[in-house]
Amino acid sequence: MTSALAAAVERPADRERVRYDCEYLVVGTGAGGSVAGARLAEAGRDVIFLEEGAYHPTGSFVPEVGTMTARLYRNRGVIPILGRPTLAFGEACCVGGGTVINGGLIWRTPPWVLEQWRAQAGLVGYGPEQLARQFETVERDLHVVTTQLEADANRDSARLHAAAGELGWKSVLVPRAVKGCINENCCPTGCIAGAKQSSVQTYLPRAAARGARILTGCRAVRIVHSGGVASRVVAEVGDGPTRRRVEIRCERLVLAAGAVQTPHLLRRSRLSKRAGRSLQFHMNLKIVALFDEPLDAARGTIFTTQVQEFEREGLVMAASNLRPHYLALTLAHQPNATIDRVLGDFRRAGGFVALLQAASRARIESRLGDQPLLHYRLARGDAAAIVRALERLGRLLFRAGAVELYLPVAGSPAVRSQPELDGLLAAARPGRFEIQTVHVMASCPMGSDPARSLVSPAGRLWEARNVFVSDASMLPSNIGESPQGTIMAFAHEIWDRHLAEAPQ
Amino acid sequence: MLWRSTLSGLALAHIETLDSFATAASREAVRAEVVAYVIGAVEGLPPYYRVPVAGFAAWIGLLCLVTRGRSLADLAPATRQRQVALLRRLPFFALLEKLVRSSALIRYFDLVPGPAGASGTRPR
Repeated sequence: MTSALAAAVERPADRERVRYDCEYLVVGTGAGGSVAGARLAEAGRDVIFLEEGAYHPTGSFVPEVGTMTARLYRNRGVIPILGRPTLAFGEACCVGGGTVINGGLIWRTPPWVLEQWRAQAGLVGYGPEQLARQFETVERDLHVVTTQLEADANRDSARLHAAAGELGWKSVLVPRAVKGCINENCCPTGCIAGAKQSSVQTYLPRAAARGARILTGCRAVRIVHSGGVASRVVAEVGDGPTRRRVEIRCERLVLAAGAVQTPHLLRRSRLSKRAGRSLQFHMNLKIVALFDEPLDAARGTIFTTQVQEFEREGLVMAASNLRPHYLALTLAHQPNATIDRVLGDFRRAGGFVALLQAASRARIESRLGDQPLLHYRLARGDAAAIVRALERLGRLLFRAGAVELYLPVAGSPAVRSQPELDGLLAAARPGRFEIQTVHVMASCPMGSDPARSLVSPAGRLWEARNVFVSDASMLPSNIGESPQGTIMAFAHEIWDRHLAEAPQ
Repeated sequence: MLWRSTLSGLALAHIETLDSFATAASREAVRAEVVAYVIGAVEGLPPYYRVPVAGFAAWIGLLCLVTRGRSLADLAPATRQRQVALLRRLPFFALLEKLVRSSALIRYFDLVPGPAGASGTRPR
């Protein structure tokens, strides 16, 4: 099937052609776009995908983090969300989008989140029972399996799991889209074993097998529209002096470029002034821990278990990937002597993350050119939530046998006991926190009220008749979990409804 | 250009004090690769970041030329470390340093073998 994908890929930069035509143009090939394109192509529709990044077959993946970051991420993974503290945001830019660089976690949306969306956004037909069928489809399509604890790998996760049990905290084995994971530990920079079932392995080959074309290296810069109807997308190909424009005419437009690029395109095209005004996100707070004995945490994979005791408060905790690169990046706010010291004890080291559902909102500015500028203001409650999250993760790690913790607080010393941890956190100023994010969403929220939402429950942009949104933008809020499962289930639901209403 | 030279110097300042750099087999190649990666990261930034970053780096480079008589990249390692310590007093330097340091470290560990068992990948 992946050979069908390779055959469907076309780089307009290598051709003279300046105009394409299709029935459905899907901008973006990540979680939402790939489902949209596959469903439409399999229903016999003429589909073109437009993708800014390049196509990298799994066979071309290498273990080098820097090399792969340059290939698969926008701006080599360097996108700041300005604020105090400034957040480091990582966004994919490749065929397959975020599904290529994430951990492959496929969670069903928590029922209380769906209930909140029903009550606050008026989302009818998106309850747990209605979506169950869509989740089953996603889980089957992506070969989702529940991870198992192994004796010789992921011992950091096993330690965390056991410690949670001792504290009486809920901890679960996670559902992942993998087939034959062999613990290569490369999830965020492309699975070199090809075990992770990204869209490159699943939905995109399916779409390609049914005739969908994928234009790569092709950045959408403007939607041409009139009277609430989009007629074509203008895109740029090539760089520098070879840069030129191509046009893709379409009957219907599906925006699936992610929660930052989709609203940016809408704003630049003057199709929606409200898009991107309130981008929601999760905060990744990372702690490096040294344990009382070797764990060999590098033998493993991202996320095997997850501590969910505080999930309703918007906090989950897990072990994360461990490689020297990630360790050094997490400790980048420390002097090199600390990095050397922890690397010297590498077999005893582990990297852990608290994923926090932030109350802060970011804003996307689109008047500065090709790339959007992101900024936010730390919500009053988030500073306290960060401290609480770090305290809980620290407590869990000490229980798990950690003897030394390095917190994401600039200039902070190692802490070796609970009182030291409490003291450090009590004195920490919010501007000193080191925070990353990889989950952004809800920048074009779905809802039943056109005055308070941008996208209808059918996935259509309220402000245009033939423009749909099928990515993380459409989620009504952040969800406190990896969003891929939710995005894909919502996309299936949208395209089920659409295909039922608009049979060929 | 002065801004590139300053970024090179800053990138070097962040790798040359790592223990593994002292024993790295091909230090010149590592230096060149890390510097190219860092400069590539800055060049890939949108103009509203790239221009101020390059301008700030050029200004720092000028400061270095005036006070030390050489660019940051051409200073001896120990002098470079002292100069960077002084530069940390400047407003906005922390943001520039964070950008350079994260890019430098991520590429550095591609090139220099980590501790035994550190790659996390099994022999194939």
